[in-house]
Amino acid sequence: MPRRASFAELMKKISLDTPRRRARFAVTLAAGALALLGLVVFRTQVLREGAEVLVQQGNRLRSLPLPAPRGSIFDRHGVLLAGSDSATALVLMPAPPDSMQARLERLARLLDLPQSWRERAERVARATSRPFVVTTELAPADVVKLAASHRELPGVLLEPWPRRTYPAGPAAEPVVGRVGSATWPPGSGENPIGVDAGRIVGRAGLELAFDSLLAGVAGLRYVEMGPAGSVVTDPTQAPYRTPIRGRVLRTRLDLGLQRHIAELLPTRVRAAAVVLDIPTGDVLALYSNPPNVPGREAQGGDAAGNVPVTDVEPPRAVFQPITAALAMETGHIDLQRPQAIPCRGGMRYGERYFRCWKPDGHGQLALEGAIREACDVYFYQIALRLGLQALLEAGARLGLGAPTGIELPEERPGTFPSDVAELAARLGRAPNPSDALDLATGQGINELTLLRTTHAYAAIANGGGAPAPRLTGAAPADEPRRLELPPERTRDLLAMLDGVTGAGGPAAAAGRMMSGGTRIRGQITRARTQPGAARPTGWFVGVAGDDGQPDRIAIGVLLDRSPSDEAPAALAARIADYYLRIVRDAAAPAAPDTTTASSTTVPTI
Amino acid sequence: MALSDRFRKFFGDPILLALVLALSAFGVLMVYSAGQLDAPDSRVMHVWKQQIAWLIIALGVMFMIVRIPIQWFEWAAIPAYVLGLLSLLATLVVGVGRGTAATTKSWLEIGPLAVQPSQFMNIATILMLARVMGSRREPPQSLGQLWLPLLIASVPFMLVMAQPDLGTAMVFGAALIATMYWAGVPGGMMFMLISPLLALFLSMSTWVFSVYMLLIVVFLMIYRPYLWESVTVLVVNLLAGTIRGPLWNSLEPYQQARLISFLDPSLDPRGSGYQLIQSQVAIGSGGLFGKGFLEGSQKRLAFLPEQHTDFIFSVIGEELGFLFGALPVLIVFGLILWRLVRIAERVADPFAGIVVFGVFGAWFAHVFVNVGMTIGLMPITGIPLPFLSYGGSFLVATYIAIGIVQRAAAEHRRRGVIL
Repeated sequence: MPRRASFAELMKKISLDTPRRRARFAVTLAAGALALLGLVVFRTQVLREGAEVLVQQGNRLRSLPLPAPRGSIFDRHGVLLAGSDSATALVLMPAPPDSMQARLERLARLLDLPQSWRERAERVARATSRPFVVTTELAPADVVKLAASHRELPGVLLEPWPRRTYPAGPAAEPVVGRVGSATWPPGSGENPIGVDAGRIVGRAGLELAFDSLLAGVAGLRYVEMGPAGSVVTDPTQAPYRTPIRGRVLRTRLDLGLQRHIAELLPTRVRAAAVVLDIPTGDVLALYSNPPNVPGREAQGGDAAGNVPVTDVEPPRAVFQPITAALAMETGHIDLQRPQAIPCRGGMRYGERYFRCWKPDGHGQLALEGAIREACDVYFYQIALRLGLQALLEAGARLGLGAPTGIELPEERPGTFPSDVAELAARLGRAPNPSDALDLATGQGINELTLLRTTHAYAAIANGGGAPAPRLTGAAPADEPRRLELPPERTRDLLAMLDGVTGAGGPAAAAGRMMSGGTRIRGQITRARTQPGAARPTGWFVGVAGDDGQPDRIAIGVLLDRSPSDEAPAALAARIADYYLRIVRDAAAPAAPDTTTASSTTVPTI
Repeated sequence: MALSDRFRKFFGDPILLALVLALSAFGVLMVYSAGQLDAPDSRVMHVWKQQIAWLIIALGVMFMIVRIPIQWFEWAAIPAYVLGLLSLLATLVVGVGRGTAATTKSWLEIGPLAVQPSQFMNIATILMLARVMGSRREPPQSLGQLWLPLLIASVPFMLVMAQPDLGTAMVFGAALIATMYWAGVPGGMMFMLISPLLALFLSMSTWVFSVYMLLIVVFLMIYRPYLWESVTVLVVNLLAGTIRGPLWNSLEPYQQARLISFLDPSLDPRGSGYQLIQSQVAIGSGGLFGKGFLEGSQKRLAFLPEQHTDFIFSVIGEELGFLFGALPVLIVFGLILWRLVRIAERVADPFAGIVVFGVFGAWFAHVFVNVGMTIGLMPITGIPLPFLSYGGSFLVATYIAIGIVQRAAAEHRRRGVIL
C-alpha cells in the first residue's frame, strides 16, 4: 500500500495536468530535439569536415588518364616503321544508365555512327564508372559538329589523343605487330577503347614485346563535372600530369628488303620469308603473308598467325642437311661413302616400310647426290647409324626444339624432342629406333618453324653456331648454342648444297637468278604429287653470299600451293640477290627520308 | 496606447512575426542561391522570383486572416475539413505530380495555378481536432473517447498516403499527437495509442519484440487502464508486430529503398542512398564558416538533389557553414517554436490553445524530419522546411497558420494578458 501511494504521488508530480507544465515539457522536448539536430550537424560540419570535403572534391572531379604517345620504331637505317600522331578522342563521362542512353542517342543522331559502335559503347558504359573513349576515328566534320553542339551534349568531351600510325604499311606488320585496346579484344579501329585499363597496349610483335618501354607514362587530366555528366572544365586547361612519350625502338630490320619481299610473295596464299645476317644474328627481314593485321582474327584468321614464327610444320627434305651436320659432329657420316642400301623408292626397317619421296628410287648415292636428290633412304641410313639418342642430343645442342628467342612474343617452339623422355611423351608410347628415321628426314613429329630452320642453316654456315636471331639490340635470354663441326667438312657440306641450286640441280633456276659474283645454296622440299592434287607447302632454306666469301645471309622461304618444287628457291634467290646488291652498293648514299628520326635527340633502346 | 501595444492587439506576437519574416526573407535568398548552377537549369534558376510572389501572397493572406476573429475559425472548422477531404479525394482522381514528387498525385491544377491541398488540409485538420477536443470540459480519460480525433486525423492521413506522400502524411500524425497532448490526454493513454507504431518497428527483431511486449504488459499492470483497453492494446500491438512483413511489401519500391538507404546509404550510393550521401557531403564540406553565399560547389554542380525544396538546409549548411548557417537557422526555429508554445500556454480559449499547439506540433515535425533527413538522422520523406523551402502551397498554408496563431495572440492581448 505505501509503495502504491508513493507511485501515485510520483505520477502526480510528473503529470502534465496544467498548461504551464505541458508547455514546459514541450519546450524542453523541442529544445532537446533541436539540440540533437545541432549536435549531429556540428559533428558533420566541424568534426568530420575533412572527410566530407574529400568526398566532395572527388564528387566533382573525374580523372581522365591521358595516354602518352607511343615511342617510335625505326628500321636499321632509321626509317620510321611506327609513329604517333594526334587525333581527337570522343570521351564520354560516366553517367547513370538512362542518361548514358540519352547521350548515345544524341550522338548517334549527330554522327550517324554504325549500330555496332553504339552497342559497344553501351557495354563499356555499363562496365566502367570512369570516363571512357568511344573512338579516336572521328572525321574532321564530326569534330566540328560535336564542338558546335557541345552545349546540348552534356558529358561528351573532345580530347586530343595520340593515335598509332604505321607509315611502313602492312609490310612491317609481322615484325612491328600492332596495338589494341587494353579492355577490348583487338578488332577494328572503331572499337571503343576502355581508358579504365589505362592505355593502348601492344597486341603483337615488337609492340607487345616492348610495350612497357614504348607506352611511355600516361598523363592525367581532372575533369570537373556535374552529376548529369555535364563537363564544366575548360578543355584547354593544361593537364594535371603531362604524358611522357614512350622510348624509341631501333630495329635491325631492313625495311627496303622487307618491302621487296612483300612485293615478291604472292598475296593470295600463305607465304613467308626470313632473312638472317649470319655473323650477327640480325633479322634483316621477317615477312608473313597475310600479315598479322588487326582484325584478322575477327575475319576468322589466327590471331597469332605470324607464319615464320608461329606456324610449326615438318620441314621434310630441308631438314636433311641439318641431319648431315648433326651426324658430322658425332662422326657418323662419311661424306664420300655411298649408302649401303641403294634407294629403290624406300627401305624396310623392322615391321615398317619407309618410303622415299621418289617412288622409282635414286639408286646408290653418296652425300652430295643424296642432298641434290633429297634422297630420304640415304638419310634413313644415316639416322640408323647415328641412333635415336645421339640424334636427339645433337638436335638439342643446336636448339632445334626450343624457340630461337627472337623478340616476338608469339614465337612458338618446334616439336623436335630434346631427349627420349620428351619423345616418348610426344608419341604417347615408348620410342624405338625407327623413330629416328622420321626425325632425320624432317617428318612425323619433327615440326619446326621457318625461322628455327633458317637459323639452323645459319648455324651450320657459321661453323656450328650462330647468334640468336635479333630484331633489336636487346640481349638474348639464352646462351647461344652450337655444334662442334669440323670446319673442313662443314665447307664440304655447304658446297654440296650448291648441287641443288647449281647447274643441273633441281633448283638451278634459283642459281641462275643471282647476279654475278654472288651465290645461293640450300635445300628445297620435294613433293610426290598426284595429277590434280594440291601441292604441299614448299620450302627453301639456304644461305647466300659473295663468291669466294663466307655465306653472309641465311634465307628461308615458305610457300603454300607452290607451283613447283623450285618456286620457293627462285623467290629466295630474288630476295638474296636484292639484298646482296644493296650491300654491294652500300657505299652510295641513300636518299634522305622525311620520316627518319634524329638519333641524337631521342633516347633509343 | 503605445505603438507596440497597438501592434500586439492587431498582429499578435511581434517577435514571432519578426522571426518568420526574417526566416522567409532568408529563405528567398537561399532559394535564389539554390537556383544558381554552373550548368544552368531553367527549372530552378528563376524559382526565387516565384517564391517572392508566393511570399507576397502569403503575407496578404496572413494579414487577412489576422482580421478574422478566432471564433470564426472554430465555426469554419467543419466546412474547411470537409472541403479539404473533397480536395484530397479530387487529387486521387485528377491529381498530378510536380517537381520532386513527379510520381505522386499531390497537386490539383487550377488554371495556371497548381495547389497542393494536403498542405491546407493540415490546417483544416488541426482546426477540426481543436474543435473536437477543445469542446470537452474534461480531458479524455479512456481510449474510447479518442475515436473521433483518431478518425479526424486518420482519414486525411490515409488519403495523403494514397497519393502517395509519406512525408506530408506524417505531419497529420504529429498534429494529432500535439493536439491530444495540449488537450490534456494523459501520457499513458498517448503511449497506448502510439505503442502499435513502436511494435511495428521493433518487430524487425523477434527477440526485441518479445522484450517490448513484456514491457507493455508491465506497463498495463502499473497504469491499470480498463480491461478492454488493456486487451485492445495487447492485441493491436501483437497484430502490428505480425503485419510488418505485409505492410513492408505494400510500400512503394522507392519508399522501401529510402528506408533501407536511411539505415545504410552506402548500400546503394548511386541509387537510393545518393540523396543522403550528397546532402551529408554538402553540409559536411561547408565546415564551420561555409564556402560563401552562392559558392557551394555541391549545389553549383547540381550534386545536391532538389536543392531548392527538400534539401534547402543542405545548401545553407554548405554555403554558410555551421556558425552562420545551420546553427542560426536551428536557433530561429527554436525561438519560433518557443513563441508558439508561449502563445498556446497563455491563450484562454481552449480551441485557440489547441490550434496553436497543433501548429507547433506540425512545424516541429517539419523541422525535425527535414533537417534530420539531410544529416542522416531521419529517413528521406520529401518534407519541406517551413519558410525556407520553395513551394507556394506550403508557404501560403504556413502563413495561414501564422495568421491564426497571431490572431489568437492578438485576441488574448485584447483581454489584457501580456504575451
